[in-house]
Amino acid sequence: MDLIPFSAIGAALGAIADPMILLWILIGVVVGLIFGAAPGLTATAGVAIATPLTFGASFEVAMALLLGIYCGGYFAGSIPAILINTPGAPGNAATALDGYRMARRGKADLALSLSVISSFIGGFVSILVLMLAAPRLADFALEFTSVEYFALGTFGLVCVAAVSGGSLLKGMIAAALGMLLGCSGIDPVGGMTRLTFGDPNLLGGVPLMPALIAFFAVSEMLVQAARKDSLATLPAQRRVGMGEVLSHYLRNKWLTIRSAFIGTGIGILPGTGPTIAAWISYGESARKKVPNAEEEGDPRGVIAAETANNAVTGGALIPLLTLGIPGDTVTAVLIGALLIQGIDPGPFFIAEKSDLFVQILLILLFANLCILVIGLGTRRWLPAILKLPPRILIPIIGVLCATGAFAINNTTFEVGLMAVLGLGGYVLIRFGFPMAPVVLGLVLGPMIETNLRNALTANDMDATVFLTRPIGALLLAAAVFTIVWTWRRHRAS
Amino acid sequence: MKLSLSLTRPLAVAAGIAAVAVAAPAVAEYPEKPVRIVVPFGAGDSLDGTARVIAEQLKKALKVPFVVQNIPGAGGGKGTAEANKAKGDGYTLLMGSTGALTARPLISKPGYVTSDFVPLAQLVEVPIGLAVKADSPFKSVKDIVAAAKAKPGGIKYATPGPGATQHINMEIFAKAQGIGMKHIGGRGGKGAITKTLSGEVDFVFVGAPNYTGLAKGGKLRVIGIAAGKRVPYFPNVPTFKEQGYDFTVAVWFGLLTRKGTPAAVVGKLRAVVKTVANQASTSALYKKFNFNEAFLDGEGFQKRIDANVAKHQVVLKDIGLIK
Repeated sequence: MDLIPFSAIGAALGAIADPMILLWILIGVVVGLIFGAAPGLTATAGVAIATPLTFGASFEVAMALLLGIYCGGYFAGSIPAILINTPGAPGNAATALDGYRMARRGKADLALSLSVISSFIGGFVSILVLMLAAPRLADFALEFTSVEYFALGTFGLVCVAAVSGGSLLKGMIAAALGMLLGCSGIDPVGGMTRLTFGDPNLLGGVPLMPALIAFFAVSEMLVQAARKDSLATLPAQRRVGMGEVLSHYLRNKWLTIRSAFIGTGIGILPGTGPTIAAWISYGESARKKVPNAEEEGDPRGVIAAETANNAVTGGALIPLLTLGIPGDTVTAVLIGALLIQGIDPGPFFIAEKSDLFVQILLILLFANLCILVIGLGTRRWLPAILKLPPRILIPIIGVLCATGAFAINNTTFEVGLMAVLGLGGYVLIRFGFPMAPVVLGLVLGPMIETNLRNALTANDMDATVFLTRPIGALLLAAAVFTIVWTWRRHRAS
Repeated sequence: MKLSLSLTRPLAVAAGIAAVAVAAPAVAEYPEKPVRIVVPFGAGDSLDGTARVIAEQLKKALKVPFVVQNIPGAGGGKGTAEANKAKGDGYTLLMGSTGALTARPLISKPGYVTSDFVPLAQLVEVPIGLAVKADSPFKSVKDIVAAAKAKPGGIKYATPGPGATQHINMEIFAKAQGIGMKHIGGRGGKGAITKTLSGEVDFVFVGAPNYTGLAKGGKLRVIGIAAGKRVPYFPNVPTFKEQGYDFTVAVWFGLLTRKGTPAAVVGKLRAVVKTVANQASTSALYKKFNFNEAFLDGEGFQKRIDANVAKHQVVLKDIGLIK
């Protein structure tokens, strides 16, 4: 904070308080909401498409539009995740687990309200961290080598496998299956091709978004179709007052704060993003067992996943604005937008361009306020979708899934892949395997493998590096502890 | 009003003939619908930046949308394969780059070969530079070569990934110097830089424009540019050649179309791309990205691609990526 002179704050306030700029932020948020909520379109795509539109615009207008899309896009994926078990973006998949269960029990309003407010809190905390500690935290991120990334990936996977319900063994098998899927494509270390069955479409590996749609939405449609009786008997949706919503935060204040910091922290790490942040935070929340969570859905899961998901925004801007290195995929696109504005982000940015830095902070703040207002304004009528009879709703979701899978690359291969994986997911559910670890294995498998092999290559195949570097050793110890703890609890019950 | 059947049929035939007649000079009318430019890397990549700049300019010149479509994966292989599935009609173009177009088909069967595409023009070049962390003991390329000679396998370096142009060429350099070094892929240029900043590797070898902010901020030291002459944004950094090594590497980006595209369409596209690529407004945008404008016409680009393939064939065998 000592870096930012008061004159810069005044200048930035003057620039942002312009009604046109506020309007651009609002437009950005609305565009982001659309990109986030539509499966297959993500905030990254939205920002990439909007970037050329800013070639002729001023810095304030460009950032207002793009950062608005960024924040709106990260939040909105939770809406279809909660209502129809179809995450709009990978970062909202963890939200679907408890959110969708809540919606099926008539608590869609509560789940949506929690997701809106959690997104706001996550975004807000991450802005504070960006403002107060950006340069120091960027240096901390550089402590992370392959050893630490391997340990973080392993810890995240173990957390989710352990808490995702059912037996620990089945959770581990599910995680291993996900990792196996993640092995397909070009070997990220050696460059050789493997497990593509001769199909060039698989050279890039199993793409995440079709897999997510398959394992969440398609499998769920098949499950619903298989038990016709329960479809007609969804309980009526219940409205909740603001007091009840806020009481969840009072009861779970530590969870909320911890999730915001997990999200911000993972956002800071280059090469990660909202997906990993939301899952790790979710895994942390699910350690505490709530009775009937399997059936009723646990509001704590929604709070943890959504807070962390949106906290990535401010976090990912930290390495971007202090090192010029993006913290996630959206910030990678933002580099181009900044270069066009004549700004080459690097260690000097905050000190030399403090007024622009404050503008970014204010735009983020206002974008998060827009999300809060729009989200809370629409939460009442969105659950109306669930009143549609299943014979109409399920085909609509089916079409949405297919177009979503197609939209990712505009190719039919992803649609076929989605269908095959969806069927596979249904079989796994039938045999009592949890879906979350499969998805997380696919997300984290490549990260774990690449970093394990890179860490060993860089250290002359000496495996003791995993024990001698403190952050890595701590994370691995936490992973082992989680396994032992879960195993003992299972035996006790 | 009721049309008798006897009248409907000739009308339909006439309409059919008219349709054929309209379709025949369609080449002259190209483009009559939006054109897709496939970028085989993710949004935000420098290849993507080039594509979006040229797409904006082509849209203005030809009055139809030029839509950039990112299909990342397999080091550019996936998107290039997808572009290869399109009809050769000039409505799907490929933003091609060095590794994906010239090395990938040699390593595995990605669903295309280099000759599946007809070059329209090379647009820009990104010179590759060598950088170390600010507190590194290495001050010149010579220091690194000496250290690698003193301790074989002791020096580690990062590039965007295995099989990338930067990786292949650094292996060419190492072979020429008789040294062996360890390579670690960074999953992209910025990732490779991160590995250097965290001290995991000794140096990074990626596009020199990536270093500008960090070098200015005192976190990185750029110690050699593998280009024919110094680059304007690092006027004090000597080239490899100035340091006694005959070594130049550039990643090039260019526009191609699927083979089978009618000659008239290829001709028209080549002419238009040449015009927009040489406009002052295009240069101004490229300059902001620190890209070197390096326009080559279709034939010149073809020669360069062929030369790259020939060179890669030898090295990829040496480093074990081709059996």
